Amino acid sequence: MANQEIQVVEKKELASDSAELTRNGVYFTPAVDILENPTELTLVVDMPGINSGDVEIDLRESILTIIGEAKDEEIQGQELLSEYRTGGYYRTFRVNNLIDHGKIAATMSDGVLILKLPKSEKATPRKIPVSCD
Amino acid sequence: MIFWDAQRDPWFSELARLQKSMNKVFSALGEDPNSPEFFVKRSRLFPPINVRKQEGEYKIIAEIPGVKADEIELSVQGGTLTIRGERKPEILGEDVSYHRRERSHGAFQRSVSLPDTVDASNIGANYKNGVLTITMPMDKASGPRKIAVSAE
Repeated sequence: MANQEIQVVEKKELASDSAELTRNGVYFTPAVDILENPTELTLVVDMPGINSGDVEIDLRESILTIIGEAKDEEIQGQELLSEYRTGGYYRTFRVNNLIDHGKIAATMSDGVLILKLPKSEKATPRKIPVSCD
Repeated sequence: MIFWDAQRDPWFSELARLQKSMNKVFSALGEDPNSPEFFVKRSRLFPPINVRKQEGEYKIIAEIPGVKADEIELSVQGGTLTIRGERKPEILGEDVSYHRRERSHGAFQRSVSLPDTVDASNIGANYKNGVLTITMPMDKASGPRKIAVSAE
């Protein structure tokens, strides 16, 4: 894995027939890694160019919504080469696990959002010792 | 797309016909000339870059999320600027199972040849929120210069 070359992944614009789109601007679907361990669910989301203050995370009725708002930036000068487009990010997930809403933690660094959703007590597996007489 | 009175003027109908056949060529290549993606060049090398020219400087902008600023290596040699680095996978503890893995990682390297007008000794770079911006001032000395012709 160490010498593997990183692949170019084209940005996918949000399909226009999906929900939302009451906002202005271009929204892309961010690339996401989803990991799970016995106690929590972790989402790693690539959102380059978004300030940590412009990220909205919402979880209600098992629908998790992540929105990254792009700052309206005035493009100055002349575009000589354009290989990618910029805009906001939007993605929703259906979360099946029971999540402890009070303990959701999100950190953002270098354009990557790490969202930790701890499972609630009820959902974590518990070993039940069987005693024999 | 606008068709002004295409029926009235034979010139316009000729232009419309031309436009239609050009569109046909592009859609045969798998490109839709009406899509905003049409003007975006596809890069095969990571990271894709945008290059902008503005007052007195050139700017190269690249989205490289998930890399530390000191892990991006920039070098200029003989009029070629090279961006090099590696995106490492996030280490998120043991005992994890992946449900989805869309973010790729690995090494990357990309070179851009610079125009002669760039002042290579004053190139600056800034990395913020996963976006690398390289600012390259234009060399003032490379502007038009008068050369006196001496007569003997």
